[in-house]
Amino acid sequence: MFGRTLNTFTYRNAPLFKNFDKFVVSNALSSKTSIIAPTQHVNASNATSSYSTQTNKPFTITEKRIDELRTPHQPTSPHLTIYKFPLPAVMSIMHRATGICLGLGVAGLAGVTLFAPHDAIYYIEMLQTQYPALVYPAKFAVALPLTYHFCTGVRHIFWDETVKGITVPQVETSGKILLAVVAVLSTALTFISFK
Amino acid sequence: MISNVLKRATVLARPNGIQSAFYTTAKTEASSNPQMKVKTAEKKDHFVNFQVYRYNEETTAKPYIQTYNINLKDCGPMVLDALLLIKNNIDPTLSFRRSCREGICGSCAMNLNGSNTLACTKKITDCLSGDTVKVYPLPHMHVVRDLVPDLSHFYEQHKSIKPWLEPAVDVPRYNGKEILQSKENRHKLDGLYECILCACCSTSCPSYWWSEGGDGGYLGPAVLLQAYRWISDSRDSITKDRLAILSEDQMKVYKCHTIMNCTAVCPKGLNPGKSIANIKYLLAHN
Repeated sequence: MFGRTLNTFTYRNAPLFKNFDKFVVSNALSSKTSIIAPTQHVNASNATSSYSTQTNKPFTITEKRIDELRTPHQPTSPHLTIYKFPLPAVMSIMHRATGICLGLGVAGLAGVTLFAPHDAIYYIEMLQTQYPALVYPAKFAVALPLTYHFCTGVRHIFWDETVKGITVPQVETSGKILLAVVAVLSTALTFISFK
Repeated sequence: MISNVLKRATVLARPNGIQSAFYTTAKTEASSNPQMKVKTAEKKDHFVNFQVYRYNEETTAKPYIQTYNINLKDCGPMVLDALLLIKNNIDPTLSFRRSCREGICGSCAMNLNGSNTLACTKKITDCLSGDTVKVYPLPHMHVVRDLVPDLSHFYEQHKSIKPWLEPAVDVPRYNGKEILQSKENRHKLDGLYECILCACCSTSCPSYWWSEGGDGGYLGPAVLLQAYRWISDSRDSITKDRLAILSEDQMKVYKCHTIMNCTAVCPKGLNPGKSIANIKYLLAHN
């Protein structure tokens, strides 16, 4: 607290600070502006320092309490808009995004079974009969986040259990392998039917 | 030795002056034969736009981007050279931190073309996109002015992990002072002690952007690497306390999702991501 208080002083004469403790105590409770006239002591010290070109004018000391100080306006520097994310970072945020999508999907499915007039299977069969062109895209839209989240999740477990493969080249190559695996698995799941 | 001094003193008497006393000035072929020209790689004109983030609390209400056109012919190879050229010749109001100009102080950490590095060790030609170099302060930090971020919270966090050695009271000491360490134990500190706390890694981490605040906030890769540096030191006696400090709030360590931005940007080539994983492993298996 005194660090900030000290900074607000404008002072030229060191002898003032001989009685600094008293000065702070007497002024700590309220902000004050006081005019200090040069004393005998100050004159004596000025006489010894012949370098000073400043005249012995009275000067103003303004002291402020910590809560009266204006906090500097410091904007937050740009981050998301300017940062170039490498592949592992993009895969990490996709892991979270797919997780959120899957969670919402499960919640939606549960909501349909709970509150809709028909079973969820009824609506799936309705999609198959009424919009047969949309069957494969719909299956892919479910299979892709599922396999992606599963694969990257397995990689996370591997990292946490073994503390291996955590260097930038290893993470990049494992990420590319994962993307290939996800592509194969999700297309396979798209065209497999479980009847 | 005296003969050497005498020899130098006699050399000093020559018209070549004091330099010839210490350096051999053998005449090269080129200097003896003025017709022969030494071939040097001639620098070509190469104009580059530096887009620099500017903010000054006293004069500008909002941050803005200022573009400086620089000829690389007049400029040193590194981005810091260009910034110094701008400050010396074009715009003296541009402010940034710099000190050692050789990548050991960590003062000039900034965001160059979307990636955090030290401006003193990054070549201008390596961070060109087209003919522009984008220079921003470290991401998601409070900007004091231009490229100067406020790192006080970062340093507070570093303080909180007790970044000093706490040896046991009865530890055997060599000559009454030094605590000896085996070679294997010393090698455990390689890749950890080199950290210069430039904050490149912490400010590249999206987890650190969103949740660094408060007392129990995420400590960030740099501070956690430092924490692991003291945990893995064989001379330290309070390893359990250090782990307890880290695990008293789940945000402190577990906000790390192994995004690996930290390791990708580290200008010293360290691996903060791996040391955080090591801390997680220790926390889980102790």
